[in-house]
Amino acid sequence: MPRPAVLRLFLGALLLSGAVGCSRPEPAPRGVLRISQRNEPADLDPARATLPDEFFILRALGEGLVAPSPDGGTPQPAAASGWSVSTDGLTYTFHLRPDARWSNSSPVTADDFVASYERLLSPATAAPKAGLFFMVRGARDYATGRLQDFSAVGFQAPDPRTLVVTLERPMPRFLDYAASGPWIPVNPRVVARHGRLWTRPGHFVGNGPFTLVEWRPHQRIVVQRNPAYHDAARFHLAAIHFVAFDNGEVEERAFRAGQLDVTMAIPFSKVEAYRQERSAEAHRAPLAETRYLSFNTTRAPLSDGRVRRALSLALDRAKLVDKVLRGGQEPAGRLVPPALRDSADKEPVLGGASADDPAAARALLAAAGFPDGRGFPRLELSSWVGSAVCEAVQAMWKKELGIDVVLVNREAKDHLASLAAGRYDIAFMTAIPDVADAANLLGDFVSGSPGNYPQWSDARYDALLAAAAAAPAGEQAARLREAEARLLDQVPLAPLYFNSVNWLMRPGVRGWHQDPLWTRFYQDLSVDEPE
Amino acid sequence: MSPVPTTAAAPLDPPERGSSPWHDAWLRLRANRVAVAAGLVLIALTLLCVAGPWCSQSYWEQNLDLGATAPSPAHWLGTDILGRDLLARILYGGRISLMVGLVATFVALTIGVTYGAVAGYVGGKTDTVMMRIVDILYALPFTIFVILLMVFMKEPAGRLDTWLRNTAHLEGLQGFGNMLLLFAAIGAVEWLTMARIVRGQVLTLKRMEFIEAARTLGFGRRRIIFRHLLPNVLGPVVVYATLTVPAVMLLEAFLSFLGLGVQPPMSSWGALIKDGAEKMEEFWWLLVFPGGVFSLTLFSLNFLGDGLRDALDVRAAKD
Amino acid sequence: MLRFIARRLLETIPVLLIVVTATFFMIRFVPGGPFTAEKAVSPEILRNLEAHYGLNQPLHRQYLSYLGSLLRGDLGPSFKYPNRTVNEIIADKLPVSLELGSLSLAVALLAGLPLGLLAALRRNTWLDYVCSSVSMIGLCVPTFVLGPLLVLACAIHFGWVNASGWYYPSDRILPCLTLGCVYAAYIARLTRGGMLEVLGQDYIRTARAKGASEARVVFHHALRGGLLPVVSFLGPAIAGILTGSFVIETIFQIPGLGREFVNSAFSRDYTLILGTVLLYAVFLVVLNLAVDIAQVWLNPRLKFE
Repeated sequence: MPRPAVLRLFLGALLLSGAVGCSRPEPAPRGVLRISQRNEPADLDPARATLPDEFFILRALGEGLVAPSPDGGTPQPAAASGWSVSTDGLTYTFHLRPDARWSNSSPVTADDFVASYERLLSPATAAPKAGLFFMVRGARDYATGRLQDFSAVGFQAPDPRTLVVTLERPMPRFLDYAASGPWIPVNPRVVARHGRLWTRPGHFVGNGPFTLVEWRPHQRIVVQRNPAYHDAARFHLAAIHFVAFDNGEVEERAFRAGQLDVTMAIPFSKVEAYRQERSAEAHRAPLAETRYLSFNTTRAPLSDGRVRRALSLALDRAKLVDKVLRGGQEPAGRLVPPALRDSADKEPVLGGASADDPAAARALLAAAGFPDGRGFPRLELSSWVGSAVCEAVQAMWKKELGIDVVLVNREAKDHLASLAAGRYDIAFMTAIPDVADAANLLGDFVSGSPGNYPQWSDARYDALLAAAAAAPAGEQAARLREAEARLLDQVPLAPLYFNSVNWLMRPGVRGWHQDPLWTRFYQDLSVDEPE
Repeated sequence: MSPVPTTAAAPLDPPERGSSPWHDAWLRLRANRVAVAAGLVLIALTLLCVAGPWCSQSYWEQNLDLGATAPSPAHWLGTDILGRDLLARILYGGRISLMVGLVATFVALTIGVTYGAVAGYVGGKTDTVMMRIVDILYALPFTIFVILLMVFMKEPAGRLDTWLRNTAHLEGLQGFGNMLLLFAAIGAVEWLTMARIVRGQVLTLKRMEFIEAARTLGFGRRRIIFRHLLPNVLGPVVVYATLTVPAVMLLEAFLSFLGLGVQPPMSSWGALIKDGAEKMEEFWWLLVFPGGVFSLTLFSLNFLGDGLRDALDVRAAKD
Repeated sequence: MLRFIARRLLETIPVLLIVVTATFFMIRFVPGGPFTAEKAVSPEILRNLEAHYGLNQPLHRQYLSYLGSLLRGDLGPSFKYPNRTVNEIIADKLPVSLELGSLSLAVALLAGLPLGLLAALRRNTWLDYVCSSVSMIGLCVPTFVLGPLLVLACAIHFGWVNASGWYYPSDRILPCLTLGCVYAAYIARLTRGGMLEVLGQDYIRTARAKGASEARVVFHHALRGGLLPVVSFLGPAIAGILTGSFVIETIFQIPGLGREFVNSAFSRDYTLILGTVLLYAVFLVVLNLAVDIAQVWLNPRLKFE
């Protein structure tokens, strides 16, 4: 009989493999924080990075002239110990720290900064975020190739400890831009020596509190404390592991199995369970991210402002946030999220076209020629998120206005491409500013801007934004509010909600701080030993 | 026609046309209790999915205040995150999944059988070229091409949808363009193996006497292929088809996992299971019920396929 | 036999060429390029990027230069990961996929072969149904359900192994078990079918009539022929595991090639797509050749044509 022999072999192999393989995972070594990382960095080069995930790591490895302040105020000194501004607001003189060093011990000089920015703005580098430098005199021309000589651009290094930046026009929020990720310098000599491979561990040189030790793509990136950093005393972690997790459910299971200290998110269905049963681990914070519906204003009937207004009024944003999203999001009646608002900004959040007023919506729709939704063409509502929000929006419009929209879930790149090309009716979209400046967000909707997905063109709005850019410091916020009011009044888009982030964190992690713009602060961060 | 008493046929005798081998196969199948049970389960499920959505609650109507609830007298299988009745969604999703399975298999079958039969019968250079094409297509990885195909064809599918809605006024077939795309993508991959199998069979049958006889009688190529060869190829084809349907349904589940499956508010078992797998710890019913039905269907299809193969395979009947 | 191998390898070159060409042109016609991103990039910067990668050249020029670099063995830079070349990415991830694949196939063979054998030997009895049902789990439960269930049980509830990752030897257990289940199902069915077909042959009847023991009949006479379908299945299956294990790699966070395969299509990383497609085609061709050789070795009635 063949059976016993085969069975014995099979069972034996199974037991053997079980015995050999089984080992409880080792706990993390002392002082090591394991953070989950959602997107694999395309490159750890400040000139090429675009995603918040890349800047998480870059901010550990390097620092710019100034850094965002943890409490959201004026940026703080970083590589520069101080600065002065000329009376006309056009010239900023930064004084670099005398003890600032690269991780290979060479001093950080102003020439390093100039060389870094020359590299970033060079057309050959094709830096995606070069736009964050365009307030500097000559930067835009140099980046687009109209100017060949970098010495005409507003970055000067009169001596190794001084960097002079000259702007095109006065910009009160300039320091916020100088504190952004792409302004982190690179060591020009290292880049020149290693070329494309300079970001590998072993070659990487940065001026930040940590150094790059290991980079296993799609597995983990390890950075280690840099004792030569000028402010090293404030950094208590021995190392940080950025562990790659593509999928939120996988990440949550790893957290529960003790493999992670901090996650990027909590799976949608588990948010409530965690907040109720394991509230010490669940955390929530608002983000400077607005999710909105973009209307293609070049297509009928969306070209009629009344139709757009009706569509916006028919939505019960509070219900969307409370019943569908349930993640602590905030209903949005405006485009500019709370983190980007001026302290004097007291405008109501849900008003005007964002109020929940189905009756008015029906009246408007009837006035536009579609009483009770009759004759309204079946438009497409496209998104890439596969979110329940779109299904809820679809149901709300059906119920309140009697119109049908077709849900189209496109794959991410396709969705963005169709938005850019104007091949859509209504699209679910997200607006994320690069810096804490409302102008950065509102500037996307100027006529002809590549981020102007509604394909909207309004001379008054353009004029208001131009006036805001030219306005003196004290008045700029008010001008921007006027521009935003105009935007909301014309309804080329319907803001839905301000996103928030929910994440899991072991109680042993202390001093965690992340601002609404996804900037992480690693100083004063420590982790208790696991039991 | 009175049934001819069956004898164990010698391995190389060609199965004759006429009812007796089929009748024998049918008798053998009927004796296989598991296959019969599987077949009955499938028939029951199909009837439920076809008729069910008419008499159940709405599958798309949301009840945001309700949210996800466990099975209760109001909702026998519970509700999903948006308050939609799960039983209705499973029945409706069953329509979609079964339709995808059957139609994609039918597409694969039609293309594959014709292609394989022609290649096998004509032989020579044509055969070599045709099989080379099959080899090349085999070497293209399915996953990448389905993704690209789905994205690539979104525009035409959307236009088809718009046409159906506005011109043909067939509103009930909303989302059909996307579905068609799904069938096409899946069918475009499955036909390859079918073609190979049929070609192999035809190559064997081609040398047999009854084909020789047909040729001497002056029957044209097309007639020989369609009236003489294909019916005899039907056995393995039917078996393979029964086993392709579950593979197609699993493929559809995989596409839903990638986010490329059917679009909301339409649903399919694959989409329901993907959703349920994410939420299985909080809302177990979202996974257990769709998953159970899905697995049951696949089990039944597989057992039925096995039974059919046993019944139709004359040689294996000897014990 | 050597002539057979040489001829087959020569025949594959036009196949590979057609595969590369078809893929190259098809992916260019898909909407959305590698640089379409959430935050819209100004047109000037976009132009710079495209010039940098040579995407602003006419299509046929790009194609020819790609073929040229292929001949040098250079699969090009990755568009999504600018500081890595496709060669590096594949060299990094292929060993992982090979390990995952071979271990899973080992599990599948260890489980599937006995189950299929038992089912064939005791056909239409309760043992047949039990074995068939057990082996069918892999065919009837999607991996993205089976995987998490195993993780919840073994990693979280019992705490025997890690929930994900590919660092320790024990990390291999759950992924290979899950993936192995799927292939075990196919192998069991094919073994059952193949063995049934062979066991019905005349020469088996003769062997039995001549008094050979059941074990000898099965293992010495029948197995060689019965395993033929399994062998011909293994070829494409191995190629498939290397590049198609996307779900497993996602659920267990394994840095393998399967995820690159799918993600490169989503991120429109043209060179990576071409590289992985080419790799898959080469593997398939080589494995098919190996399968054909194995078939001739197993079945003396076949010959190299």
